[in-house]
Amino acid sequence: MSYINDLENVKERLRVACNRYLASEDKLPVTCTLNDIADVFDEYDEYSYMNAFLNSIEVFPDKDYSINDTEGHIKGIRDYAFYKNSALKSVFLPALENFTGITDCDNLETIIVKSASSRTNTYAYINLPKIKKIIDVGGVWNAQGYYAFGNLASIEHISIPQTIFMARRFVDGCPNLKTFICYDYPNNENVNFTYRGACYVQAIIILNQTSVSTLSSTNELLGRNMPNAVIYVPSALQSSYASATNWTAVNAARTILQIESNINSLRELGADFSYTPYANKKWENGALVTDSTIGEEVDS
Amino acid sequence: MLVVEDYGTEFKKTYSDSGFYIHKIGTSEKYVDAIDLKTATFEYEETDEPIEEVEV
Repeated sequence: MSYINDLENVKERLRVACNRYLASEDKLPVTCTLNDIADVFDEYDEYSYMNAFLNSIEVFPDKDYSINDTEGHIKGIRDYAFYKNSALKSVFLPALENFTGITDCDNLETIIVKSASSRTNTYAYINLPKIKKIIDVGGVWNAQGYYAFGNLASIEHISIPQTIFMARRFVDGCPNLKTFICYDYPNNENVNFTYRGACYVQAIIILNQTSVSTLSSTNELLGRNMPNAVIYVPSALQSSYASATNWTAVNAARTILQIESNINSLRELGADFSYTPYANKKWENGALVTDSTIGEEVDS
Repeated sequence: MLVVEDYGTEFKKTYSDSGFYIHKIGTSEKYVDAIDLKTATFEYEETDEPIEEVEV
């Protein structure tokens, strides 16, 4: 009998400890079994229950809780995992399999996430007043929601993965954007960058090496609200863009340049070619050469 | 109905005057409007998919 009581006490201690790391809706009840507790730890590799960890800012207000998962342990984060967390300055999550977004972090400056799965984000990145750079690579993004990049007053650099769909106002309220790296141009009529006013993006860099992006309308790219935008494409496709539907008019108005021979100046502008075919490449004597001192992450 | 009109001296513009997307024949590409070189031989047809009204 004493053994049973001891076991019950241990189970209760485990339950309490376990609950510290669970979101409120997932906390285990007193009636849970040891198997329930074991299940939580079994799933730990698949989903990280980070709410309790990250909101520790209230306990240690001066600590930087930036996440740098270089070993790729974190496979997923819950909705609102970082919500209202002011402790984060940077997030590096290169092994996510399930991911909906990062929102409402007052001091977050850099996000690098690499996710292998499709997504259906709404408001994937919104209300991050100090964010300067978001590199979101890997997988195929199915962005059904509006405002994927919304209300990011300080953002200067965005990289996005391949997309099969983008809802309207995909990049909205990002007036200080300097570089935008994408696999294909976000093809969604005229409300991508300028719905809330001018966007001074300087370089739109299209990575697809094999085919020309379909541009469904020239309204935005030829409009007044993107006065500084220059398009950069792989050199192998530059002539194809110059004669492609709609791009031909864009090329006549603002010239479509090749990435390769401009990669040094693009990098000076702040473009980060991590996880692209141009990682660690620079233009030298008329050719692309590898320079590992640049230190960009190479896609594996 | 499909409309083709001059767009400057170098280009032509194709669109639907009924507010539908147009489809480039022989491809899966659809456009709100399509600007091509006057020498281009692309052919278009009107789809039955209305262009969503843009909120401003």
